[in-house]
Amino acid sequence: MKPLALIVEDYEDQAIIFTKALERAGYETETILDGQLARQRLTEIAPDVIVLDLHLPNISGVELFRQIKADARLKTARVFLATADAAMADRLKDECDLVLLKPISFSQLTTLAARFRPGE
Amino acid sequence: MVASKGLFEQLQQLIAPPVFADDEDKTRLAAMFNVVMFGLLAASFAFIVFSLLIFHNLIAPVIFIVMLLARQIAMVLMRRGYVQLTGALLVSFLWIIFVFLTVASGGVDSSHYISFITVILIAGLMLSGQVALIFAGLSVFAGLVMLLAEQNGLFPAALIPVTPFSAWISVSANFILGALFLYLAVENMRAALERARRNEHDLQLKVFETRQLMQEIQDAYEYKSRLVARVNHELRTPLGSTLGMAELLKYGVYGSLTPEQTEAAQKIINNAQRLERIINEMLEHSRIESGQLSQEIVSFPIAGLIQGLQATFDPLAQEKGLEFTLELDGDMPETITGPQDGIIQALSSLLDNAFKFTESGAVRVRFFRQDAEHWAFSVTDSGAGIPSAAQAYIFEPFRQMDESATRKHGGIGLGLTIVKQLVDEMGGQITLRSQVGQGSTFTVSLPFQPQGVAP
Repeated sequence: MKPLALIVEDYEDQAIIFTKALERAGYETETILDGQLARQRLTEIAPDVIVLDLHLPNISGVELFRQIKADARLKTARVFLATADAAMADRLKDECDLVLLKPISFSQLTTLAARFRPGE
Repeated sequence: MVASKGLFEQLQQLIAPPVFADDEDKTRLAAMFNVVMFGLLAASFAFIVFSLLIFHNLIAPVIFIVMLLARQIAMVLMRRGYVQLTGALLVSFLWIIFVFLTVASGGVDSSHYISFITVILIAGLMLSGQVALIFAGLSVFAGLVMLLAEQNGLFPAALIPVTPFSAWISVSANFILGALFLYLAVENMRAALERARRNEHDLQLKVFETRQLMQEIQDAYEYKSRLVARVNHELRTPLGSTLGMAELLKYGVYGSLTPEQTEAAQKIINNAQRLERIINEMLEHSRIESGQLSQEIVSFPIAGLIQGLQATFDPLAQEKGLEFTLELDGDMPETITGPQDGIIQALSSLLDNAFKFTESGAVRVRFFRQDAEHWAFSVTDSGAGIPSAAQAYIFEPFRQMDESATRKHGGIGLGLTIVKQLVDEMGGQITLRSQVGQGSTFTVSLPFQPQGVAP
């Protein structure tokens, strides 16, 4: 069975690119464009990788990130934070598995995501 | 017409006191002396009229002529800038005149003896209190001599007869001269005080305006930083999609492409990446400028740094067919303490530049001990070199050597400015040694013991 990746990104075009990259890297993907919905969904599923955009409407991406980190059920989930803010990326880079500074290259993300696949 | 105008001007020049553009105090004094001298002239002229009416001799006209001469001499002296000296001479001259008048009119009994108070007043207000005291002493002494001479029958017969009328004239003249003089002195001081007050007020206004201006500059600065951050985000989002979508096409996510289509997708990618570099440069500059960059001091192995650089720049070196070496001197410690991120960034920027501007040959990085307190890294390339004229401004913003470089290599000319800012912020120094046709070496030296870290 393929590992599961959840993509949380409100900008649809970007979400498509993330999704395609993770699909190519061998993941089953689920894409959510809304932070609140993503939070709800995360109570139901336990993805292996979460790609989380930090600039979401209606919810602070950083807050959602902290909730994920605090959730024992999601302990094994690898979190990739996506942001265009280099200062924010700097601050959070030690807390997550990967910081994706936008713009993110599709091929790079594919390679990186493949490296983080469980069992690799 | 012309002649009369010339005459008028000449006359005006004759009576106007000198003006010293660079010394307000001197000008003021000269104007006052001028008024005093006119007062004296007027008094001595009046004396002629009265002396002709009362006693019929030539003393008064002689005094008038002497006064006229004295005034002209005083004017010449003042025009040459000897205002203080003129004042001293004027006061002395007045004093001598009054001694003469007192003696001539019968000694200390005469109403002229009171004239000395006017001299003392002028001396005190125009020159100094000390001079006034000296003249007071001199006047008392002169009076004493006259008194003794009179008592011993040595005093000459009065040349000028003292009548109640002449006494009234003499004392009144002194009152008027004294009052006029006091008036002038007080008005002058009041004016000076007023000027000082106005200047202080102007100064306070300027200080206030300067503060306001500083605030405006700071606001503008903050606005600029916010604008850059905002624009950065707004640019990156569509740029990310452009880049990503082109890659989706190129990597066949939407089906395989013809070679031309692949090439077109690659061109979109290249241009998007170029745009990305420009945005990065701009943002980096802005971040360093606003002090947002993390300058966390950590200890890190220098071998790890070298490996990282090797991994990043080897592909670039291969692509351009350049030799790329990293050397670590034997006397360097294994770990370095410092702002790791800043160091990596400065090194990467210098290497980016070195590869950008070198078409053949080698790019070399060397880590070495500079002195007891400093270590350094140098980035040497075999590129075109930088002319010495350009070396002076190469670290200034927007100073790529020429426009064609911008077109060819991309970027907005902030690369070296950013490195310089970074190095400055890390408490280090950057130097450049370059020769046209031979290549360039940028050397960054940093303290082993960064500031704010306990040894």
